[in-house]
Amino acid sequence: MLSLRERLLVRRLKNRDEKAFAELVSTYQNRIYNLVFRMLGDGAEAEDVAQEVFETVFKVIDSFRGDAQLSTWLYRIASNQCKNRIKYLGRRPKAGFADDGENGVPPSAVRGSSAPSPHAVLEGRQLEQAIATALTLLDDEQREVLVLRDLENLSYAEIGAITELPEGTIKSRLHRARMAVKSHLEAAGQVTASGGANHPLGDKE
Amino acid sequence: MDHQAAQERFSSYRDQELGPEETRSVEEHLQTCRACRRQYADFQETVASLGTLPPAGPPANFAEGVFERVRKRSHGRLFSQRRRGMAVPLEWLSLIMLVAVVAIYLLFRLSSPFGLFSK
Ligand SMILES: [Zn+2]
Repeated sequence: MLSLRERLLVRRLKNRDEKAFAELVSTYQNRIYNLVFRMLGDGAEAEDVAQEVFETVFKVIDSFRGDAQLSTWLYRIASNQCKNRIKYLGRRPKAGFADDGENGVPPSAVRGSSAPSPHAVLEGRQLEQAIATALTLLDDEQREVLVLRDLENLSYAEIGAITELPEGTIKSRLHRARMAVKSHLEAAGQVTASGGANHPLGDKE
Repeated sequence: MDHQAAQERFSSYRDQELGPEETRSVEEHLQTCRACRRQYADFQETVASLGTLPPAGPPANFAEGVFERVRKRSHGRLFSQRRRGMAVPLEWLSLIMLVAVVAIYLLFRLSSPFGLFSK
């Protein structure tokens, strides 16, 4: 199940080879950090948790039996530690681009069929921000599946191995998550289109 | 298939996760329903735009920070370099001790005939 490269790396990791560990970090840090950042929506927390993930990997590498891909195992640890951190912080994640000072648009019921296509009105950084905000508004379970599927481009099988959820649950969570993001983008697009971006959405029905 | 049933299958339809029959039903509905077609186009756009979100990269000193943490929490004992660094001197130390004990023993044996302890 493991590639030769992975098997060799794991053996060296179990031997507490510092170079192997450096290799592991440099190979997976981008993917793990991105997952954690999108799950938590906060740079400082993400750095802390992502580092903690690798620290944990190093501590528990002996328990890795190789019945999943190394990346799957890493993702599973990362995903669990995100959930623990969210629980510990006891709050909703912040917007991914919190430094912009704007928190985007609250989830709105605006969903008319006359809504312009999200792309028609949102572009580039604005779209990015609207997506980042939409992610923070999902519930944790939906966000996890969406990030793994649409941001990290993993297959349903891989997501199943990471989350240990049945496929039906993954599909329905993913569907709800994507629909929620769509609604949010439509709402954000409408506000931008009507020139109301500078006003709170409150004055809009 | 009605609007709701079709829309509930957007996600799986997009990912080609529906069986052939359901796929056909969704396609038939989309062909005949303009509203759902519009909704599906937006849905596809949404998913596509998620994929264009630039990945958030870790800060430059990320790996350094990881190593720092591993060393701090384990007092440097997790890496084999350090472990070997402890194990090798211990082996040498025991050898040196052994040699020293033998040497002292021999010294006593050799020195006693000259009267140091023979009185
Ligand atoms: Zn319809």
